[in-house]
Amino acid sequence: MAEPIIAFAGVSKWFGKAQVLRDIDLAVEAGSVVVICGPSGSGKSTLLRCICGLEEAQAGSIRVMGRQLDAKALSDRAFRANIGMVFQRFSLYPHMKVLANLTLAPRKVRGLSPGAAEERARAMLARVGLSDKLEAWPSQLSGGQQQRVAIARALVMEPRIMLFDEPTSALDPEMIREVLDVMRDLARSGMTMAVVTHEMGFAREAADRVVFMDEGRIVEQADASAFFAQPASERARRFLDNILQH
Amino acid sequence: MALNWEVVWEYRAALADGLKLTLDLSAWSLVGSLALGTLVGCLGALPGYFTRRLVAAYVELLRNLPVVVKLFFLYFAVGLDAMAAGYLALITHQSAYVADVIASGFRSVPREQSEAALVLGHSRFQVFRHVLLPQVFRLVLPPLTNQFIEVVKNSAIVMLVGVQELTFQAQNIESETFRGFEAASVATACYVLIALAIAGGMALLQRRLRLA
Repeated sequence: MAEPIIAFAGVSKWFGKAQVLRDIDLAVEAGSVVVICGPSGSGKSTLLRCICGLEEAQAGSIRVMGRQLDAKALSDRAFRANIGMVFQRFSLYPHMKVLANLTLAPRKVRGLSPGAAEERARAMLARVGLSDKLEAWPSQLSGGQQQRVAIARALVMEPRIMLFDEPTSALDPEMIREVLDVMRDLARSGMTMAVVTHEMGFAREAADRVVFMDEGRIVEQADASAFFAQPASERARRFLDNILQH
Repeated sequence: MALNWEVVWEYRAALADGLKLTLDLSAWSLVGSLALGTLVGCLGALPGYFTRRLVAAYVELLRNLPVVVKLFFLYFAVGLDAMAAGYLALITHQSAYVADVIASGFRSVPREQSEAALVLGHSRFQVFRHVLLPQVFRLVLPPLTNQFIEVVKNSAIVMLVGVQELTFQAQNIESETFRGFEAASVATACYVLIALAIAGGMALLQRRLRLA
């Protein structure tokens, strides 16, 4: 079997004295979709941020795309750009129009000509259904549209892994679907995705694996169908009860 | 009291010279304090405990010294000539305020902005240059307007080391003709006009750069 595209082995991390990740073992196969869920403060976001290098683990090893995530890998910008990330909010550059938001990284990081970068930007905007917003300012877009542009901006770099950190948590309910639809399309296209979300409908439908975390630990990880049929742990059962029946 | 505005006309050449000097002092001190303050403010935004403390010390020290003390120190103790002491006092004084404004501008840009750019593969310098700095400048335009007007007002203190700028000339008219009211009125009008011009220019710039 091929090496997993993301592999955590015994990863721990502390913020000051508080331990936020405890001995994490995790393997994500290329092309699969993993949903990470759990109560707030359980370390889900920190785990994602370790994958893209925004946080560094203090113990254990993380391998991404076959490469050890050490200082050398993290300072390799072309390597890092193979991992895309979508945040909860505030990530579009407010002082640039949508087109400039999408072309900045291809030009400055990949060294594309403005024309080539724009061509890619147009293609990705079409993919998220926002071809008409090329000349819009971020502030003129709805929250859902902003998140779709953020996804397009990550895709323009042709990443091999996409990370989503609660991409719909800050959205009005009626805008959640348009973002999840784009993410479902992406999952179907074979993109490797790690998604922190409370959208259990999305998880049930699009995820291959579900990882349940609590207090910095992975309490349970299972195939999505098994997890939703019957979580093995009492803690996960209570969590699912709480968020499905509010 | 009968007003005599003719005295203003009589002294027009002196007043014009004074105004020219005031404009000259203000303009260069404004540019200088903006450059120096931006540099220090950016240093303060860098990660690292040491640079942050150093910048905080710079801001506190220079902000807590009256500008006239700086002027006297540079003129009498260091021995610079009057104009040089004036420029340097005004620039260092205002640069502390500008640095503080710029640093707080950096703090008000959401963390996600630089994180998103870093994940896209940008270098720290690119993040700074393309993502942070342009946003900071838009955020700090309103408070910078006040700082610029402050420079113009403070420029009057250089008369204390004999620089014959606008306030000096106004006082000179008063001492030679006892027409203090008229002279002061003209000086006041000049300062107000300069301040209005700065405020207007900055408002225009703000509209041009407005986040649509």
